[in-house]
Amino acid sequence: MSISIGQADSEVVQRQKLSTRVMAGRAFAIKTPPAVQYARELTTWLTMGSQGAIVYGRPRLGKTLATRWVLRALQEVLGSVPWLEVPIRSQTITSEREFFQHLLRCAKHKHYLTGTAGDKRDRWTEWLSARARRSAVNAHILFIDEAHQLTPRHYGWLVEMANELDQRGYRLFCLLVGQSKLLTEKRKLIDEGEEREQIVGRFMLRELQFPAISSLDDIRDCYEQYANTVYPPNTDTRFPENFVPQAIAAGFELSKLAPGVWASFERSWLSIGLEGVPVVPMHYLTASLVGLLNALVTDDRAGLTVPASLIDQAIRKSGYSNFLSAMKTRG
Amino acid sequence: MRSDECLPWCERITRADLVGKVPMSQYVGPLAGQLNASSWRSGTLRPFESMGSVGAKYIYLNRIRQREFRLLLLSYFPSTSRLGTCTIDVDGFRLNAFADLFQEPRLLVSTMSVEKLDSDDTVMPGSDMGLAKWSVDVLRYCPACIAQGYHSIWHQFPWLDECVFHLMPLQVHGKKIASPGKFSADLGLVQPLYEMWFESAGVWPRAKEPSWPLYNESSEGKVAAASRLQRQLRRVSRCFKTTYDPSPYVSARAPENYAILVSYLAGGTGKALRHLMRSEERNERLCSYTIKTNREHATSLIAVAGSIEDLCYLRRYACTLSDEMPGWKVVLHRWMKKTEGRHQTCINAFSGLYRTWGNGPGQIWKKGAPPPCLAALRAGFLPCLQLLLSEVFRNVFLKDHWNHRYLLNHQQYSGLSPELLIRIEGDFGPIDFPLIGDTDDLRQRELLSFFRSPQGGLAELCDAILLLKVWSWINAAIALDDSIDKSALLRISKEPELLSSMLQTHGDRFRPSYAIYACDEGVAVTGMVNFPFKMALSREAAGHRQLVLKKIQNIHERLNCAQVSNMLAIDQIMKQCFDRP
Repeated sequence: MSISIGQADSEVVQRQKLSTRVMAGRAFAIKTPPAVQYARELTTWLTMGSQGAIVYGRPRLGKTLATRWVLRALQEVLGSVPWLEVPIRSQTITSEREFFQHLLRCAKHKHYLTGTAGDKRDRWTEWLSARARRSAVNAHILFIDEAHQLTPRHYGWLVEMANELDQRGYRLFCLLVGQSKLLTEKRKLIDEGEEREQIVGRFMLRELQFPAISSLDDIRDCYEQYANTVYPPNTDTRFPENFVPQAIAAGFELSKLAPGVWASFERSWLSIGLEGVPVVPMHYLTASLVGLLNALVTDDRAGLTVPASLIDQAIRKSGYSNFLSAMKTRG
Repeated sequence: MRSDECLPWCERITRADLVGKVPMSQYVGPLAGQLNASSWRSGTLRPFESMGSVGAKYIYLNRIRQREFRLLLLSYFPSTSRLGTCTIDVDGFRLNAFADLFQEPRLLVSTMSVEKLDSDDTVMPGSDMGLAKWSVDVLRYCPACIAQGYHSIWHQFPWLDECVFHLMPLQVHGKKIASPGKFSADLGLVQPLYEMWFESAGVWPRAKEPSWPLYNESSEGKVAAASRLQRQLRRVSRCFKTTYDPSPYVSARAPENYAILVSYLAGGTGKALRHLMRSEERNERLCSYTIKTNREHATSLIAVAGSIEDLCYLRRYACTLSDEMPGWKVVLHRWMKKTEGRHQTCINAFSGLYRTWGNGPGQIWKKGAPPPCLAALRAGFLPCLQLLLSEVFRNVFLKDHWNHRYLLNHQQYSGLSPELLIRIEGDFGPIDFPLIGDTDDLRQRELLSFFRSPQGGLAELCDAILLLKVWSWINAAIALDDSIDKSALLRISKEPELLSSMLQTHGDRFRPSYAIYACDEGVAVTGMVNFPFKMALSREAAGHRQLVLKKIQNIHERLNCAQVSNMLAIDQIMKQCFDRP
């Protein structure tokens, strides 16, 4: 008896760990309809010779994870295209030395700490060119997350960086991903006149407002992806089987929950008093799914049915209502 | 947007995922990895590039100091040691991780290893040509390579005069390499190379360009040639491993040689041998050791210390005149046979080398023409071992005419009286000894020398010594380096004095051979004390000894009662006794 209790405890712990990893974005990234649209846009930008683009959207939409998915998926389309994710921090990278040190540290460069600002710039350029050289399109993508925190000085260094790489025969593509403030920054730079126009012309001409989940089909697609994802890796277990293995074995399909889930999201949207098509950030969709699956663990059996109240509860616990309230407050 | 409306590539992903149950989701790895990136122009590393060359470029590309490069290497060295000559060859060096740092293929990085060039310390046993001689005391470089931003581990072999890639004479950098402290010695090459490429102007015109030429195997035929050279050196090494018996190889000085010899002949163990060699008073111990072993054997022979060389001399002469085939002669003939076969073995073993270092690929050796190795030899490339051995052996062991030395105190072996000793000349010129007997008659000299040659157990002793000599000469011949005039060596058969002068000039290089050859020096240390040797005679040797002794007794009786002035009588005696003219 004690053994079975121990096993049950262990399974609970394992599910908790798994849920946490998924919510932290450290488990897997699924192909979502917004990500597919994003990938299509990025492919076009790259093939059309653009040197940068801005991707903006509300927080929690899953821009960062989607960008990572897109950049990895890009290798399937264009071959090897090296990229580096640079999360921008506003407080410590105001000087040239600190900025390039930050870039080198993001690149996990062994010598990111030593030398003068000039040394670090040269080191960074060498590193970047070496990576671009291995690229199938002779380009390197710099994925700058939280790009709305960049200052004109940073943009100036990015321009110089792109020029140096161009001199060597390679292209730097700056993918600026950030909140909607990024669009404001763009307009501000345009307003500042010719001097700043170069920045906009080079990095900000292309833009994409990152879409959220906004239809039943979107949710169904996402659920299909979750249902087909094998996780943990190198096992024969699909993601939902970690929670309701008996139900899945008996033919339970996650995608059949999509209408109920979409209806519940719609109800939440309307209950707050918002108009138009409901918008579901990826974070809340994932959180509600993980919460729902955890709630179904105890009822796992063949012929499992999911009551609408359980779905509503999962969505409520995901914090979607709070998000909507905040959105309404911001207008 | 539905996935059905995606771009074709997305469709492709979807189908593959669904069919193969492969998740279209991407796994997200661990949060943060180690700092393992560096600035390096991947694809610029070339085969056989030296650590100095790589280090100088790495320092430039990463804008770091030399000290930081060494600190970087700390993580690739094992914790126990980072000392050695070649960094890559330090035991436990993390080659895979090091290759990852540069994003270069591991196999390419492994060519930076000197040990990998060959598994042995020397390409040829006993020679200077080998990995043991890889030196980083000074920077040696090929101007053409340096102008292309390349320095190879091949350039640091002192025995190599020319760049294996460009066939240009190697140059030596003026400055002596500063020691890299507690790091492997080849890191000392980094500084001078950095100075030549990135500080002084013009040595490598493309040094500061934003890109360097990538290594392209198809366009680097010369690098492929170096690989061929490496393979050939391995083949030569393997050839020697299979055909060369290192057991009688003696590399110590003369007295030690003698100790080894005695121990070997007396069936001594390695322990006893070491005991003898370590002893400061080796002579006393040598005597006591050999006396002790006497009790275990049936026959005891007395050898005069100073005359061993003479005995061997007579023995090989006797073997040359007769059809007797002792072990040393078998070995000798085996090697000679190889030589007589138009250098075929030589051609097989060295063909790659010849193609690499000789007149270039595509040249086929025609039958009847001088062997290609001879041409290569004359051109100053690798010595043709077979050719050298042929010349050396012909002069030392298989002469059909001899410059004899005076034979003293041999009557106890041959049974001949001292009055019959005749004047002969030594190998290194005439020896001014009292003239006894008729020396003008060649046949008389030959006959008398033959009669005085050692027989039976003593012959066995001499054969063993001669076998050592043969192997020793093989060693000596292949130990020749470029400083020896190999064309002179080829002329030895026509100008015998060349061998003498060469031995005197290059005695140290001939050490293994010369030590034994001059082993009467070692014997002389003993103050001409008679050493008791005891040989375990084989049945055949014992029977042969009995037969020869009997015949000699007969001859002795006849010689005692007749004057030897009449050569006809001697001829008759010869016919009677040996059935040969």
